[in-house]
Amino acid sequence: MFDVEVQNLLFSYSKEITLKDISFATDPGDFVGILGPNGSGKTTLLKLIAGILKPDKGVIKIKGKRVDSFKRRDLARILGFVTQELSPLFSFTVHRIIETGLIPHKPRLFPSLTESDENRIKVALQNTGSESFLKRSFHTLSAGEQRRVSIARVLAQNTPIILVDEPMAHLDPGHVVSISRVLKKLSADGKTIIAAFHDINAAFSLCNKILFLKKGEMYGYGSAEEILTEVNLERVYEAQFQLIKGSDSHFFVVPKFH
Amino acid sequence: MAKKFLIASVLLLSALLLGICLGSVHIPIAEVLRSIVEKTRWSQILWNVRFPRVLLSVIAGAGLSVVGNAFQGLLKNPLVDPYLLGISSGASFGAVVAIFLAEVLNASFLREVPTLTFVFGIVAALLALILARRQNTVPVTELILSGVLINILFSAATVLFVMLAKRNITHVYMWLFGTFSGTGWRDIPVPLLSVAGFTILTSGLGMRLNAMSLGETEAMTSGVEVERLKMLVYITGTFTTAAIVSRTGMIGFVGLIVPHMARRIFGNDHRISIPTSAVLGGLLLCMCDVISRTALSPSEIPVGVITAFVGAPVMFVLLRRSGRSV
Repeated sequence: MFDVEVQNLLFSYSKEITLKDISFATDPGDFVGILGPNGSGKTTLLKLIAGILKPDKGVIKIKGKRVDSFKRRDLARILGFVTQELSPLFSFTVHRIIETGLIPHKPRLFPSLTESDENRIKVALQNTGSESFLKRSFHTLSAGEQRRVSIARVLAQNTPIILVDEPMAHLDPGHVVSISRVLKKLSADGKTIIAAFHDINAAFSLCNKILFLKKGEMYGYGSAEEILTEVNLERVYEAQFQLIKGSDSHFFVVPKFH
Repeated sequence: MAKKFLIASVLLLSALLLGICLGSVHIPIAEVLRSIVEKTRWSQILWNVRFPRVLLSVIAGAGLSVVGNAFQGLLKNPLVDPYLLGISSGASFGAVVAIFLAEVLNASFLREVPTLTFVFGIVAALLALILARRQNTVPVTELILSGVLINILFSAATVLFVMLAKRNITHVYMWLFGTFSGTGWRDIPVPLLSVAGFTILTSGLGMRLNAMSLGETEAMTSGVEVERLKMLVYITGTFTTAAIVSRTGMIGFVGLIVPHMARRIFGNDHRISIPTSAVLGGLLLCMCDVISRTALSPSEIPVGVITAFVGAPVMFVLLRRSGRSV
């Protein structure tokens, strides 16, 4: 059984079609990177998989069951979603934010945190290298630290499938590396991850599968080496790129500016 | 935290006692306490006038603050108040109609019974909800805009009605700024039960309201049935607000500002800020009512005027002292 299965997906926000003919499936433990230019429908696809948006046509299944047949609470026990930017209205402490990840596992009214819940919060923070933030106000953290806390919130949710929207957006290289390590560890722990990327190199080094989107259509789906060729990159991004082999036999994509 | 809550509770009890003692006639505290256990010459005024009035001021302050707090968290908007769905203008229209009919038909019972204000408040809120609804969801922007529309519509209807009535219904204006004048025991049960119920419900839902304050997408993917939660809080909050304003008239400011006071003093967690909003709201409105009936005694200043004059400086001091964002 596939963890996530998408068949013949069609979606439009208004009359203009945002996504069409999208079909792919992920096996347990896959790290799928969704790549494509701005406006190609990456975030929309993640929201459709999370059941936040409803497709016009096509089927999305999570662990073999249609996503629209899940109760929110049951779906939240299987699938977590790290959104692009967490922007709490009020200045909550990091603890208050992470504990919201426990909601699907707690009673609806007057949920209280047990010792094992507190442990789960602690482990989530440790796994994202943010244990020192526990009592800090979320608004006082840097963008990279906030992104780590967002991931920790979903880790506390303890789901086998995690969707991540633009994990490295607006981050400096140091934070890109630290977030990459966190995601790599999650993947090594057996989580299925589907993440939308702008950073081609991050996707190249982290993902075992790439879903390439161009103007809402699927350009390709397969291994990173298979999909991220110079020809494909040029056709999708409408710019020229060069693939360079690094010392550890990893490829790097470099845009040609001249 | 516990110490702050204790101080607020002691202040609330003191305000209650002060509210009972002070008025057009000042009653010594010893007499008040004696009247609780035996009949004195003050018993009549204490039991039939002061006790219900002070109690309603606390209930109304608590209720408006709790509804304001829950709505702000739910809609992720710090400027929202309990009158979001147009309930204020709907209830105002109901009050004007009730007062007019009471004059025309010489049926004083209409003025006594807040049924029309309650009904029109609920009708306005339901209209706003229906207008905002899109494919089984109620988007926040549409809801706020619908509330504004309904407010404008009912406000216009109120002005038109007052003009066409061509009668001296100046006490309408007293109602429009809120008053606890004439409160009796009959005015207590419905507001008390609805405020207590709403406070318990939303405190219980505090962790979900925290998730809503992160954003609807975050709440949804954390397992919150967002639309169901919104409808539950809108409807019960609107009922609670209508139960209060139909007895007290329009009391502004409390529902907007007290939640922010509670958050600054006790923190942003809804499980804490909701019950503490109730205590602070009760305290503020009780004090404001005391000022409203003693400052220009024997005349009474509408309590809404006092809430603005007292609440604004208190909030200003809190803003300056904490020096951080909401």
